[in-house]
Amino acid sequence: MASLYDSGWRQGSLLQSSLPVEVIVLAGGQVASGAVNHGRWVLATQDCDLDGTDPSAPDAVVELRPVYDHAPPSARGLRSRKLLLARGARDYLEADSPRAMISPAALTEIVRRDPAARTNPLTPEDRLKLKTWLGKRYDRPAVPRDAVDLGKAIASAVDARRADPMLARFRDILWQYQAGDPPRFSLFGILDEEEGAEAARAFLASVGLSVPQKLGVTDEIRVGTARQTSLHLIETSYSADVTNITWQKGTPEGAT
Amino acid sequence: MTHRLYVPMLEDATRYGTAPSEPIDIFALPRIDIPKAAPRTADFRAMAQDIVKWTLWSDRKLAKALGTTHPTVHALLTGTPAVGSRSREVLQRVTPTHAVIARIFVIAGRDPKRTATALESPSNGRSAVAHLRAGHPDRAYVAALDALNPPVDTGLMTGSRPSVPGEGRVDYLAES
Repeated sequence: MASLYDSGWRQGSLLQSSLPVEVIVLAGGQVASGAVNHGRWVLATQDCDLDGTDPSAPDAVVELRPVYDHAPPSARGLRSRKLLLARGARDYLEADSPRAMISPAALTEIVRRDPAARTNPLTPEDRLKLKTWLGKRYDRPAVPRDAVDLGKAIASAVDARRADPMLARFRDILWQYQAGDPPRFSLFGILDEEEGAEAARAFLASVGLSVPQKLGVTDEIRVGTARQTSLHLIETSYSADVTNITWQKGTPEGAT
Repeated sequence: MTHRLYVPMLEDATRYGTAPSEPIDIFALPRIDIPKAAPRTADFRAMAQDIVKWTLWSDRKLAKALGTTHPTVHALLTGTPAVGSRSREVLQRVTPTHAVIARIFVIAGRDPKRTATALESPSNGRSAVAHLRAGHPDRAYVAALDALNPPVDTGLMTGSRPSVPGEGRVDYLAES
């Protein structure tokens, strides 16, 4: 039996089709549903599920995420609220966006009517980052309350350097900390390539020097590629990617 | 939580393009980054004195880090009006040098001797002092850190301060 996978669908396939996405909100004191149409989507269902799905199946079992391009993030953090789909592109996903469920039969019909509606432009590396990001969105370690200002200061320092070409070399910037007077924190940079590690460490040092000393002092700066990064580090660190931080009252007190 | 604040000065706000008496959500306004005021001469002097306290450096050694001469450093430390066309350049070095050394002093256990050693010891062929003199405080910081705690290549980055699941936590994405 041919599957959606056999038909050319992959996790990360892009779909160009105006489809409604429904949300449920409280409106006028009533629980109500509303739908908005969106024209560009990425297929989020995993390849192994696509491989086991009949293209003519009628149930809505395939997940689509809306693709945006109006406010792309500056970096591609593994735990970011926004994920850039490809380096240098503007297309991105948002963690909090609504999502649509579509049946294989509907997907098949869309592409039958318009073969150009589906494209697979993501590289294997891009697809791996998408897969990791989708998986990590439900697994973000939150910081203790006493580390929130430090986290925001680190993120602010990274954000202040968003125009620095060096930032684009980082897949993610992670941090760990320990309480103290002042607190101490470690910065870890996950690089795309091992080349230029010293310059990357210097970049992280400039980030650390921008954090007000009373919030924390960085006493460990390390960089490495994904191959050199343990799963333990990823699972037990906080992300400094700026799109992870939101606050509604301006910059934290004392931030430079 | 959104704070809405009535701003009386904008009551006659038609010329600003908004309706009069309309409350303004001040936290929705575009962020304006107000540059910090440049340090005053007295601030530079205080910073230089801090550096000496943290390192027990002589005028000559501090001069080396700032890329200047010891008479210039002496003038800086004593508050004597600086002379020479390079004095402004030297003053611009003081703040980042202070930032680096303040932190290294803390990491060195607030021990001036350990601090000075960390700054003067070469790491990857160059000391923190050499980097400071070249105008690279970020590289100076890395060099001093490595002098204090030489990196050990364990093959994998693992982290020495892992977060512990179950501790009282705040998802700072939801923080408002």
